[in-house]
Amino acid sequence: MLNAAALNMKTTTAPQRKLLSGDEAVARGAWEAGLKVAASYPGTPATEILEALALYSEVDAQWSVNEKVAFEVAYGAALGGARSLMACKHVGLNVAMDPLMTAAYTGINAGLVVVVADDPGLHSSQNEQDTRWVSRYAKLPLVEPADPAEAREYVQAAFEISEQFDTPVLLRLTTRVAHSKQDVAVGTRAVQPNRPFQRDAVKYVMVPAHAAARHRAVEERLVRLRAFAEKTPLNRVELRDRALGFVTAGVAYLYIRETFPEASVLKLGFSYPFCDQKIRDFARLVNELVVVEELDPFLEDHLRGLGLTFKARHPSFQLGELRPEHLPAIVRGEAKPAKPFPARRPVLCSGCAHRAVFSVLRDLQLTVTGDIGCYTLGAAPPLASVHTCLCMGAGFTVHEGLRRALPGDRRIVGVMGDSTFIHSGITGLINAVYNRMPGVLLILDNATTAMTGAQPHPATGRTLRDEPTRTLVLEDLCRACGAEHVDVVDAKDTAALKQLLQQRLEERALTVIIARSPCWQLVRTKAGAPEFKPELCQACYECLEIDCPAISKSEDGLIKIDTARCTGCNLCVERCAYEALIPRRA
Amino acid sequence: MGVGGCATGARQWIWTGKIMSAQRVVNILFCGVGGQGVLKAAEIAGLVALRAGYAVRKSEVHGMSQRGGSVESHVRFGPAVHSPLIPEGAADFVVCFDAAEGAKYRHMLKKDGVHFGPFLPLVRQQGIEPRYENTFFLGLLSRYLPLPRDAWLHALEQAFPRAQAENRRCFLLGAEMDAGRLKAEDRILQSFAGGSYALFACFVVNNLIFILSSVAVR
Repeated sequence: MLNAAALNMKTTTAPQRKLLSGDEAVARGAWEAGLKVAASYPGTPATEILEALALYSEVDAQWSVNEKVAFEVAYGAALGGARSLMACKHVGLNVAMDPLMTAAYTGINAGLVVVVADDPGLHSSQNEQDTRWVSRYAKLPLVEPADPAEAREYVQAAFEISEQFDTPVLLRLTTRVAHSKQDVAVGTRAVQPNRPFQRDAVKYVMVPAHAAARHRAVEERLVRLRAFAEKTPLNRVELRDRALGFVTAGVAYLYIRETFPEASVLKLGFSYPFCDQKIRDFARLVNELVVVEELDPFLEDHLRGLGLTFKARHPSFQLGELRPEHLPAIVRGEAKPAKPFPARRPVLCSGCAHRAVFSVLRDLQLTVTGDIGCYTLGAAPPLASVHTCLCMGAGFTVHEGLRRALPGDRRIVGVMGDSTFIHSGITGLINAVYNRMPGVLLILDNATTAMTGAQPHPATGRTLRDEPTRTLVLEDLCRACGAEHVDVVDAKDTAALKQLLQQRLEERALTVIIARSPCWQLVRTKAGAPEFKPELCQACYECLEIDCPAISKSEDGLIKIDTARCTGCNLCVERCAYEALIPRRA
Repeated sequence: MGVGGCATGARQWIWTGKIMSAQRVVNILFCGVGGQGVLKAAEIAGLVALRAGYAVRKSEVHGMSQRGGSVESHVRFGPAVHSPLIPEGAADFVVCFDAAEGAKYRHMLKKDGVHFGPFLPLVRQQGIEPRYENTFFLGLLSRYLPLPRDAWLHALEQAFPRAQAENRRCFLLGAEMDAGRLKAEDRILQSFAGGSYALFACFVVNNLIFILSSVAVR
C-alpha cells in the first residue's frame, strides 16, 4: 500500500521514533542496555514494564510470586553477572525492603536497577507514600526521569551508575511518567559479557562482622556518589531569565516548562545523594529561588539544611497530585486549589462473581477483613461488605487479630483474592493454623490478577509469556497448610455459599472456602438480560443493593436494565421478591 | 505520491484557521467511563499525530479507575510539547463519550474550544453501536485536525484488527457527516469567527485529498 510504503521510507531515513509510555520506555531502555533478567509482581502504575519486557525474547522475564521474591531473583542474577531489573509500585517496594536494605551493603556485580513507581493522587493505591525517602534510608542512588524519553535514557545511565559504584540503583517513576506517552527516539541493543561471579564471603555473606565492614563501604560509596552528583549531566542547569529559578525533579519539571517557559531551572535527574554545590551555585545565579516537587518536602528539607533561602510550596501541596495549572499558585505561595470535581466511583464489572460473594456476606451481616484487589470495591455502599483493607495479605492476619481481641465473635471472616493469597496470604493461613485460630477464610479465586489487567500467577498454570507451567492447586496447598476444612464452591452459587458459610461459622474449626469463578473480563460470556415486569415492581430497590452498573433507578421511579452492560448473571433476579425480574432462558 | 505520504502530506494542509496551525500545541481531552474505549481513542489520535510528524504527549490513568470509574486521557501534539497533562482551560477539544463526564470537564475547555457533548445524540441518531462510538467520534474529531485522512485509517486498521470494515465505516460517518445535518456544527462554526472560511476550505481540500488517495490506494 502506498501509505504504508511512505511511512516505512520515513522510518528508515530518520532515527526510529515510537509512541512509548514511561513503563514501555523503561523496558526499551533496559533492553537496549543489555538487560538479561527481569522480575516483578503486577502493581499499578508499574505493571506494563514487565509486560513490555516480555516482548523481548532476549530478556529472561518473570512475574514473581511477590516483590520480595522478585527483588531477590533480580539480585541473584546481578550477582551472577547479568544486568538485572526489578520493577514494582511504591507499596510493592515495601514488601521488598528487607533484601533491599542489605543489598545496599553487599553491592552487586552486574548492574541492578530497581524501578519503583509512586502514585501521587492515589489513582489506584492504598497510600500516597513518597518513595524518594527510601534512597536516603537505604543509602542508594536515586534517578528520576521526567518523561518517557528520559526514562529510556536514564535506565541506561542507572545501569552504568550501578556498575561504576557497585550498588543497586533506584529509578523512581510517578503515575504521570509511567502512564504518559511520548514520541521516543529508540536505539539498538548492546550486550555486555557476563561478569564472572566471584565467591567473596566478606562481601556477600552478611553476618555481623562482614556487615560492619560493608557499612563502611556504603558510607564511603555515598561520598563518591556525592561527587558524581556534582558532575553528572543528569543534574542539569538551564539558564534562561534569572529573575525566577526553579529547583525540581521528575514530571514537575515539565509543568514548570509549560507554565514558566522563560524561567531558569535546575533539573535534578540524579536526585540522591544531592549535588549540594550545584544547588548553591544555582541559588546564587537567580533572584528568586522556588522549589517544586510532588508529595513530601524531600528537596525542600535538604535545601533548608543547606541554609538556602527559597520559596517552598504551601503545605497543602504535600497532598495529592501536582498539575501544570498549580504552578502559578506555588510561585505566589498560595494553597493548592481544590479539585474541581469528584471522579466517578469505580464499581465491580457487571457479571463479576465477587458481587455474588459480597451480596451473601452482606446478607449474613458479617464483619469482613478484606485485602487488595478488585474485591476491595466491595467496601463501597451499597455493598459495604469489606470492613478493613490494609495491604497485600492482611485479609487473613487482621482477621486473626480481630478475633483474638473479640474471642466470642464468630461473625468475622477474612477475604482475599487468589493472586493476593499466593503473594502473601499463605503465611497468614499457616499462622492461624499454628496458633490454633478457628474461623472462616475466603479465597475469591477468579483465576487471574484482575485489578492490574489480568496477569497470570502460579495457580493459573501460565507464565508471564503465557508458557505452560506446573499449576499450583490452591485447595491442596490450603490442606497442606493444615486447614481443617477446605471447601470449593461456585462463587456465583449464592444459595450454596450462604448455606456453607452458616454451617462453617458455627464450627470451631479453621475453614478455607475457595469461592471459584473466573474473572468476567477473561470469559466475557453473555446471556440475555432479565425481563423486567414493571407492573409487578414494588420499587423496593432491593435489586440495586448489589451495586451492579447495569441496573439503576429509572425516571419513572422504578428500575431499568442497561441491556448493553448486562451480562445476564441474574443476581438481581435472585434479590427480587416480587418476580418483577424474570431470567431469560437462552 | 504527494498526497499519499503522511509525513510530508500533513504539512500541505495545515489549517490556517483559528484552531489549527503547526505553530502551537493542540490539546484534546478524551473522557468517559471505563469500558467505553476512551483510552483506545486517545491512543489512535496520538499515533496519527506521531505519524504526521508532530511531537506527541499523552497521559492517562490505568488500574482501579477503569472498573467503571471516570476515565480521562490527554493528547497533546505540536512542534514541541512539555506537560503530559493539559493545563486547566487549555483544551481545544473535550471529546466525551458520556454526557455527565463531559460536563465535568468544561473547566478544561478553552474559551473557543469545541465540546463534543452536543454530538452525543448523534450516536443514537446514526444507529452506531456503542462499541464503535469511539471510532465515530474520532471521525468527527478528524474534521478539525491537521492530520491526514489516510493516517487515521491506517491507525484504525492497526488498532482494530477485527471489524475493520465497520470501524472504517463509523469513522467515515463521523468524518464525512454533512455539515448541514450536523446541527451543533453551526454553533461551532460561528464560534470560530474568522476561521470559518479556512475551515470550509479545509473540508473541501480534505475531501478532495481523500478521494484522490483512495483512488491511489486501490
